[in-house]
Amino acid sequence: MRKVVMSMIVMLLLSSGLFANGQSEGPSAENWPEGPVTIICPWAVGGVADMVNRKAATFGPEYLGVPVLATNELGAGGNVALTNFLKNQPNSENLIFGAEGAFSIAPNIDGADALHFSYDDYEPIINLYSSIFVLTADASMGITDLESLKAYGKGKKVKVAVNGVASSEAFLAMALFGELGLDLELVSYNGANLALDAAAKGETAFAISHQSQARGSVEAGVLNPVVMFDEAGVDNDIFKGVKGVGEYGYSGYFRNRCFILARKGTDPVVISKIRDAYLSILDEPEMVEFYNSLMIEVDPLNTQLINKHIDDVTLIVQSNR
Amino acid sequence: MNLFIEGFQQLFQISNFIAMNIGLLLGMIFGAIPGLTVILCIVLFLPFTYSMGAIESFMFLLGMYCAGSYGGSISAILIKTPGTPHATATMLDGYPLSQRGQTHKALNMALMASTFGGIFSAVVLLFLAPQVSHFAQKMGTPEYFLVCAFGLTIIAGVSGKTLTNGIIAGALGLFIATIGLDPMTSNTRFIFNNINLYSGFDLVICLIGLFALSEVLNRSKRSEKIGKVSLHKEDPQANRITPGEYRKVARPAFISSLIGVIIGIIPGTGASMASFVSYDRAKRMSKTPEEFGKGSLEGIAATETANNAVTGATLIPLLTLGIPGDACVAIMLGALMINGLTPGPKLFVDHGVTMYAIMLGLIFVNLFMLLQGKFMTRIFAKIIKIPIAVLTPVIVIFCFAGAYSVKTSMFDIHVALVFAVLAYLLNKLQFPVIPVLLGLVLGPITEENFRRALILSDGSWSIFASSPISLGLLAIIFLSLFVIVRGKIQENKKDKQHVPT
Repeated sequence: MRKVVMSMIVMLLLSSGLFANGQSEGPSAENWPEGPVTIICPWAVGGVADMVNRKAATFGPEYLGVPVLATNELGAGGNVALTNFLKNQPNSENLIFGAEGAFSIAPNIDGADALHFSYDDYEPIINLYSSIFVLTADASMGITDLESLKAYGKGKKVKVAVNGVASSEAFLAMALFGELGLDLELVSYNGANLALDAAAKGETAFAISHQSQARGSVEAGVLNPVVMFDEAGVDNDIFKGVKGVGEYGYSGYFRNRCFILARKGTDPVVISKIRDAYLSILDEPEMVEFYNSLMIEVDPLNTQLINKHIDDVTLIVQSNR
Repeated sequence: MNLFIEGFQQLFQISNFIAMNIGLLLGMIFGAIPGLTVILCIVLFLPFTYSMGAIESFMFLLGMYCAGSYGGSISAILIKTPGTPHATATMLDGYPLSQRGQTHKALNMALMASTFGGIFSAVVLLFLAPQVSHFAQKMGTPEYFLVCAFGLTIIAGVSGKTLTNGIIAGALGLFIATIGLDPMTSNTRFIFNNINLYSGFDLVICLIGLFALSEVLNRSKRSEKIGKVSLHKEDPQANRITPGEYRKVARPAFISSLIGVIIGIIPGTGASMASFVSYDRAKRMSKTPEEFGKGSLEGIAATETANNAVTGATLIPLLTLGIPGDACVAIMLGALMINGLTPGPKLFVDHGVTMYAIMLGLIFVNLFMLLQGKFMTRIFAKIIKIPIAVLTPVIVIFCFAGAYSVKTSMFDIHVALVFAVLAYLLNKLQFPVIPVLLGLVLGPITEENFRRALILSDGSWSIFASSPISLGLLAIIFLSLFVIVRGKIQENKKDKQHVPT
């Protein structure tokens, strides 16, 4: 037994020595960046944010003068990475992605006590992209707009498949169905693709997802687009002609946005350098084409507009939780 | 037919085969090293695919995916430390066979079986994808739950001598799997305000602790000499797989390939479940079930064919419906989208040639895996010649690196150590560890599908008997339970007869 305990102690010491984290102190604003810039995507590899991060990073040397490393740090829907990021000092070369899920939804649902960060701990720099969600319906039901949805849902519990009941999609469903006066039952699936599949095979009547995720099923005629969760419709081949929630006079909508954050207290000069670099990157034709293939939009909001987005979504979440 | 020929032409570019072979080599190495995972391998090398075309990048990723699936068996056989969760089932027979001085035989059987399973699923993908996809579309949440429930009956097969202890260990795994967010309501469970517990425990980290680090602890207890070489005398004759042995494993390999394909098309289930279900089936159908757990070739063949049969099967829902079955395949989905290919029902219509090239490529991936594996097996087999004093710290460092790499978090290293102690204590108290892993693998998907089915049916249990597939699965579950109970009663009777009066 003594040998086992000794082995454990050796392993603990070894692990602490090998992987101990130091704090990342930043250089002065004028000299920033002194080394490679690391952009942490707190979500899954292969997802839209990850792909955008990796693609944008390839332009790093051109516009920031240093290599940009795109990495992922997973856990708790991004909350682990956002917590660990607080170890960085202002002006650090480490930056992180954030979205409304961490700052508008997570603080307002169960588990908020476990969060050790708030939006005020970060300095929003630039919004990298916007993605508009779409409500789709099992094509066999013939529902193509909010009027036919209302007629269908009258007096019954409408089941909507979403990627988790604490997701943006879930709150969009609650907001819209609340305004429509329809009885909603959210059915949680482990991924938007599975939620769409559920609607496609009739397990649920509807699903909410990003456009790129619904594209295949809509193109194949398996699912019908019903409404876009935005002020107006979109101008692309697949979802053209589908109205936005705002066009029906309802207010329960928001876009999914993904923005770059620095540690609070980062010098405005550094923020400006990063913002300018990413504005140029987003202008790159290769980047524009990439965004089109992912059905997301270039939407380089500044700090004030990102703050407004967080406040708007928080209001929707708080009134629907 | 034209698409088929054009796909063949598109595939036969030298760059595709170079990418495929580099992917295979990387996957095999990452799969074989305890702590390093296929997903880590794919994540690390993903940026290289951004400058590749659709076929080339897919060959690269498929190489890593398939070889990683096989590679996990190498460390399981050599050092009793599975490189992947599904290789745990291979370890049950691979390691005892290696201990008997038949390391090459065990490694070769794992390689041959993996290749067979991989090619089987690639052929199914190539010729039967629409039919299989149609079948998959008939399966929904209640059917997924019943498949998982059937999976839980495997606990009986890996419980060792005491079924009760196995059930308790399985229940422990199921309990640990509940830690984190409730899959249906997103309420927190047992997280004690610790953000690191928010999404529960990662399976890879649990595996590192339960098997790799706990084996290190067990070694320290065994007081082996510091310079000891864990080499057993290798008899070249005994290391050849005979035609009779090939004949013996043919049936379990074929059945396991079918099981692998069926489980592979169900999103979220994965290779671990396929391996264990196949192992259990092979044991029950074998003429020599007593050899299982002691170095049975049938056991190795069953698990390895099944987990590699999953690789092609997971591509069916991905390519036909746009549904990624596991994390690796989800990354491949991204690789397709970057190249302007939208997975879904129209993918084969719009990009038929590319799709045929990819599906044909999967067959070649498996063939090259066999060739590379033949060569690498000789090198890997030398690992057992490394003195334990050198090998053990290297394993520990790789395990820590692997645990750390999942979320770049020290917390996960500590979790792995806690699981190592848990496994050590369970061993000491004569509780089997594998049911804990099964509970961890099956717990989340079983609970999720069970509760979702009840939401869909507004609480009515009749949903679990609402389709012919459900009824068939129910019949299989009850039959399995009947066989387990009957077997246990017979065992007890035998034990009573042997008690001296």
